Amino acid sequence: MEKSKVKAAIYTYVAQELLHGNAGDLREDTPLLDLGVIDSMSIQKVIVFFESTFHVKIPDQEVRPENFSSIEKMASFIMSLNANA
Amino acid sequence: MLHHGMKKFAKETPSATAAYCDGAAFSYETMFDRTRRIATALHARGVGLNDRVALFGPKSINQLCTMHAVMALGAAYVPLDPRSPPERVRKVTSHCGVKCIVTSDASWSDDRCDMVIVSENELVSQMASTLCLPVDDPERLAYILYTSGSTGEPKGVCISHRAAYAFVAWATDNIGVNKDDILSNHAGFHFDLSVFDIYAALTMGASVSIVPRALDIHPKGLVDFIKNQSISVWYSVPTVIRMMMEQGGLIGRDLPSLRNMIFAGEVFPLSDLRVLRKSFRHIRMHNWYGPTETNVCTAYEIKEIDDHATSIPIGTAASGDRVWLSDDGEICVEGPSVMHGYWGDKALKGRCYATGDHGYLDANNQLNYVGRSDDLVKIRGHRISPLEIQACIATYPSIQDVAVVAYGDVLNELVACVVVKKNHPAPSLLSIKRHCSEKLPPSMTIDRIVVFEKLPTNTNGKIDRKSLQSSEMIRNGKIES
Repeated sequence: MEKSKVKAAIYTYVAQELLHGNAGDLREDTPLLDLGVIDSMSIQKVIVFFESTFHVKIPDQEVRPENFSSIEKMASFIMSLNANA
Repeated sequence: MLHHGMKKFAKETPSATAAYCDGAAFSYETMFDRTRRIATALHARGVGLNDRVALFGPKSINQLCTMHAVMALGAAYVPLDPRSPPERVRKVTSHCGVKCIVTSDASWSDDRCDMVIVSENELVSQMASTLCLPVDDPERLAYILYTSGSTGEPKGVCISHRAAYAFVAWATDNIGVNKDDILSNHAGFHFDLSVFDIYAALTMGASVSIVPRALDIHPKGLVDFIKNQSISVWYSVPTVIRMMMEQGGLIGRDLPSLRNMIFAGEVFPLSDLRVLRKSFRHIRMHNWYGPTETNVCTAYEIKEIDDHATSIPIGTAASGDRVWLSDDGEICVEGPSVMHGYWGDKALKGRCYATGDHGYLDANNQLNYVGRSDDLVKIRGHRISPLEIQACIATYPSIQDVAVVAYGDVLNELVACVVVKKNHPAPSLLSIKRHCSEKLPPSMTIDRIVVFEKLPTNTNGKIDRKSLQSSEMIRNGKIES
């Protein structure tokens, strides 16, 4: 899968599910953890979304802040999982 | 005095582990040596009797040593939320007039803040010399914790050595902490729960194991941490334990070292607690209660949960305090663990504090918690003033009017009800979150915004917060006029 498509899918998910359809000026590098858009409660939903949408398995040890801090970071993370598969 | 434990065990059991952090173990001897170095360096910078020193940045061993060094010099430490934006740091540190800010975050420098910034690494690299330390005085302040006040301004809760020690001595006895114990430290150092983790361990010659920040978003990692670090005493807000139950596979996990689970800070929903109690029959479980102002002032040990029970009591008085209900049911506390007062305010009269929480006595003479009597709300274990968030959002350019209310079945969602200025677009949730994150700590962020044409008012013209909280209005997002 192309990275741009992965990014677009994550963008839509964040805008619809985490920001209730109110994306505002959401960007690829918006710090989602710092702003509390993704937190300990919502991250599990994000993982479920990744696993079902991108057909990847997220290993426990990869659930680290740096992999989830922005849309760009999440997309790179998904791409790295695909590359290793 | 609160800091004497570390010194005592540096002599008696120098090689015993005092703390685990980031995968490394630190002995009592190492920590005491670092504490002496930091104390020498702070002394050289003019820190002395009755001064204040702020701590800022990610948790570290040096931060623990700095706390001890500050207390040894007769000063009080002020631990800040490591995720506080610069504006918040400035507000709090100037409020209590700190001598300097000691930081574990290398990216922080003086230009971010007009206070004196000192790096931990610089302090700990100094040679230790013998200092003439002030005589012990248990009434001296040990630390100041900032909490959200009902006035909308943060308040500095001043805790003396006597008050902190009254709680720690009661708690170590109640839990039976001994030198073989490994206590978890999940809560931030700016949060009062961490007082137990740190000082129950270090006054008994036990160890405290600092939970890595990265595990905040990783419930399964937290459960693995309990197992791999051989944690014997776990203490956190119920939300974290419920997260480990729901998403971390806690239930059914074999955790042979764990013998005590303690929770405080918010109500543990009974249905979840039943599951936890059934799953870990050999573990003692404790429901503790107490605002920052009193330390833990009541406790209840959960043994069997009755089938007919509707809530879990907060129990009976702890820490040597006397706890009673006022005529209108407010929980009042008096005794040795109660704070000295708020920074900049008059000292509390007779060490007697009315909590603002309401309770009742059940048939077994156990105290039960009902809820708050003021405008403060409890979100994820933090006592939060919606008015403080409201005041922050009111400064957003396109906002005409705003009311922040807690919403949801257990009131765990913060909703900003806003009226937008004429000819302005409605702000996005993201932009409001960003605006808040520049001024407030992350625990004070909103979860949702709802745009109103006009906020409802009651007969005397004030915003009617009660009717705002009624679900229909927030669900519809508009008032029917």
